Amino acid sequence: MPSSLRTFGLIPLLLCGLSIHLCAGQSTPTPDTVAQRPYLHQLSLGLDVFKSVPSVVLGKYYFITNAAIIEPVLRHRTRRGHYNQLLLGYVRGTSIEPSETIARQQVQGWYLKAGPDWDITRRRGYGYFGLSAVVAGASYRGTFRIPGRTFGDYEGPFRERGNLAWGGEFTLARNFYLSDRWMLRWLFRGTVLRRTQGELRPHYYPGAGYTLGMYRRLFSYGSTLQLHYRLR
Amino acid sequence: MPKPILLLALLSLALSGCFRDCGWQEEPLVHIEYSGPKTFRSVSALGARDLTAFEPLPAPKPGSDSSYHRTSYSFPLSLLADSTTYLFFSDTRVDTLTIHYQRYFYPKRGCDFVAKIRANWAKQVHSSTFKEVTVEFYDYYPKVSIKDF
Repeated sequence: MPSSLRTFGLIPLLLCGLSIHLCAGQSTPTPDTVAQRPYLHQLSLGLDVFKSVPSVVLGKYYFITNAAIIEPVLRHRTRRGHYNQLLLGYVRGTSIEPSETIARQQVQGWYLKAGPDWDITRRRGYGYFGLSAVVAGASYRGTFRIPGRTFGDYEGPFRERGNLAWGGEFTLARNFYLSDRWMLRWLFRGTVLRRTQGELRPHYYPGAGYTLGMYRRLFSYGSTLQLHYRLR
Repeated sequence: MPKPILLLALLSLALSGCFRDCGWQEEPLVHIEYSGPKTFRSVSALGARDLTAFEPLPAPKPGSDSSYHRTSYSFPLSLLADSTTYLFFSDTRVDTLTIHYQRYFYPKRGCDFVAKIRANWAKQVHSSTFKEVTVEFYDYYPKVSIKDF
């Protein structure tokens, strides 16, 4: 079983945990909670602090190595219980989980996700459901290999550029307020993208994630952490 | 029950169509039809690292008279060069057959990379010690006819 599937097998468990946490969350406001008043984070700037970690920690046991996944996100409160968020992403890495004829695939790309985020904990500011429109671009490099049992394998380079995709994403988040300024968000996301062009199947698509075996319609899900700093 | 069998039949048809659409994702084969009096003990190729594809040789079939017989072979072509030379060992001599071609590697939707063999018209298509050789390039494989009498 690929290491990515082992990792993602934990996601349904996390989702259950997250849902239970949100539903059975603090129902009675305590004096500390009232003093915190989390819903008054008017504007916050966040950064993803988890996505690059498995690649560094697990190394060759993870499906993507040497990965740098940088995701700054801006959250702006429009009214009580409603935020708009804008996320920019950049990813660079090497996928080492082979498909039929491609052993390694270096990917580099960017993505933009924007959309509303609604408080689903009766405006207490602990749990949010978000929907975003997504646009992403990617380029790939690597070597392909066609096996030759009698005379030897043929290896050659490939390069694919200008690979665009668009789609949507939903997020389910739990906010943990560490202090007056700092907040940690635990997110579960599901992303659906459609590629506009490209002949190769991407192992990893920026903005989506692990997409081995998919071609034009890309579907991915995952869980991550964002650290936010309150600007206003 | 007829329904699962029908489903299996349809699936087999669909899958066979899919394989044909991808083309070669391994060494392409060349089909060689030999007509002549010789019986070959073994066949090999220059640069071959593994001779499993050349064993066992198919049995010859009798021709329209006793002076010759016919044998059909399917041998792999090298992906590492633009020609492959086969050596046919009979009791009295060794015959050679060299086929020249062009190799194409390209990405194909849903298949990653595939290989394709085409004729190389800039070069002599074949050279051989057999008396008469014809090479035809079809969509998926070349076909060689050897008339050795």
